[in-house]
Amino acid sequence: MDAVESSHEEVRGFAVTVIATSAKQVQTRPRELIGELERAALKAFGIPVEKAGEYKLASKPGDPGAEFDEKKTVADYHLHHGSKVYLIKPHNDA
Amino acid sequence: MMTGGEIVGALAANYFEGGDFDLRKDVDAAGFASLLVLVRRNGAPRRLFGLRFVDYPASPPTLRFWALARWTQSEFKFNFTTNGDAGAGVTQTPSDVATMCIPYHVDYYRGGWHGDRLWLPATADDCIAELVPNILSRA
Repeated sequence: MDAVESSHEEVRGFAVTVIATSAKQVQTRPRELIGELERAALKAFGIPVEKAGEYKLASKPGDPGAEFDEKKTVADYHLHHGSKVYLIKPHNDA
Repeated sequence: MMTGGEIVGALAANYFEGGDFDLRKDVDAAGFASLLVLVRRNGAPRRLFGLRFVDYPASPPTLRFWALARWTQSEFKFNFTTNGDAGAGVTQTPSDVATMCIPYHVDYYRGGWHGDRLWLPATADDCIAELVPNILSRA
């Protein structure tokens, strides 16, 4: 991504596609924390924000190694307009 | 809230198409939608499962596992009223269904096997969003 496009995304933001069975567009910015994007995704799906601790965003469903760290930024994961991320709720039983 | 047919379409489009999966969608004679998923890891078949939506969203889907070889057996009929193939899941239910011990499918609750994480029709789509990654993480 060149500097002009990067700057444009910083100012105006862009939409990523968040998937939790269905898919919804959620607006974000490169410097936004993953935790903030996660809360916006919960809101988009009508899930109470108090349940944020139960959910994770991930680049792939069903791969613990693909889960995002909520303290990192959107740019840290190279998310851009149209990127697909999954809203998952890990279940750790057998 | 989606219908059974709509949710099969959404799962196919959002989770499986274009990924490391082979996929078959079906609507049976009774009008119930289902999908079969062959999960691959580095290209190699790893797990074969199916989800059938009967009376969705009022009821959770039926989850079944079959032996990998079934995928290429043209004469084989994937029947969700059978137990699937022994050993094809991760565990067996008390009634010998090949399965995974994860919530939001019919056999998790059948016969009182589990009484937690109840299926709530009002949150059915969210339950499916939890079920599918949990299947994949164990596949």
